Amino acid sequence: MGCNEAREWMSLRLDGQLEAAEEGQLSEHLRGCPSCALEWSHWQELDGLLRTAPAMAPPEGLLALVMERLRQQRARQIAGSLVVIGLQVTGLGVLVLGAVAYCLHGLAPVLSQVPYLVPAARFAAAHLLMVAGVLGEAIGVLMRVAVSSRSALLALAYALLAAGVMAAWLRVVFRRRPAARGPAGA
Amino acid sequence: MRDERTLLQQALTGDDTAFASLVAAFQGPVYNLCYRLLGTPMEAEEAAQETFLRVYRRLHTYDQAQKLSSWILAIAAHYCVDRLRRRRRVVGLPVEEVLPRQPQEEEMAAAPEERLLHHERQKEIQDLLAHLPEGYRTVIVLRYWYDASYEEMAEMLGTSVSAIKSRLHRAREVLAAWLGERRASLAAAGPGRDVARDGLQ
Repeated sequence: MGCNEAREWMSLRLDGQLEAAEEGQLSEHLRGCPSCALEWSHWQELDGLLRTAPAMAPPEGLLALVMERLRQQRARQIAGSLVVIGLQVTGLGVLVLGAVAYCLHGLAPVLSQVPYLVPAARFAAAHLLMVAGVLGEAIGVLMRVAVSSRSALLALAYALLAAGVMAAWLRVVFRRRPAARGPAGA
Repeated sequence: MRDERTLLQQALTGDDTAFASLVAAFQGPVYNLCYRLLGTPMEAEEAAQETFLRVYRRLHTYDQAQKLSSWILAIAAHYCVDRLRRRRRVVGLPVEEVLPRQPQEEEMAAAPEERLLHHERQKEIQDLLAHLPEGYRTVIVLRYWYDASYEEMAEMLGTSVSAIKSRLHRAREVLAAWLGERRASLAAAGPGRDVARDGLQ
């Protein structure tokens, strides 16, 4: 047996993984090789040191801290869920308001509606509903133009565009979902 | 006391008392693992908290075939190893590294001389572990403080049994070499007795 192999077996011996015959071979090598014998004494000392190492008591209040952080985490999840629901309602609102605007107004050129979009962008944060209303109206105008031109192709294009926008919107909204899901809801 | 599996099922349905019982049952092992891997009580406490939050978030992914303790300890070990890797990228020692360690309840109950001895032993062990890269440190800690088998360690760390054997062997080789050097320099005695040890760090 070579010294390298002997060293590999030392580790296995400490874990009780050597067969009786292998134990004998290793012992024989150690008897005839002073450098491996010295190393083995260090391995044994190390093993003893680690085996008898005292355990640490966990700090008092660890449990209470974990439960407190858990409650905070849940409160954040609920807030996150409310934001998600808000975004969904807004998204649907835009389409509904578009339809309403289409029903309530007569025909008007698309360009005359553009100035509405400027203040809408300016107050976007504070007047989310207004933005939704104006955007809805703009969509309504697009629909009216599409219908007044009596072009079935344009109407179809609008329908496809609206579906695409809605799908993209829902994708954005639902991507936030996994972060807001706790095990209790799984 | 309800058994761990029942507690886990109840925690899954949102029962906080059941989850608190699980934390109470595993806080000792988790805290000790974090302490051995990270080396400071402050970091260990924070890591133990983070471990339990992760456990809570992943309760629904727990595979009943696995031992619950192994599953929880694996989450703690992975978190600590990530933390050690991040720490390695930061230059300089964290503040808590140089702060004296607060004595724990267990030690406070002991007589002063025993407490000192306990403190010295802990320090010696942490000095030893500090010589190991995180991958080796993890197997040593799991082997000695958790009596984990090669197979359990392989499952927990997502690697093979032969990789575990070789890591344990390498880790012991590094530690025994350090211990040998230290013993030799202590035998030489004198005021500069820790030179060999410092040179190794």
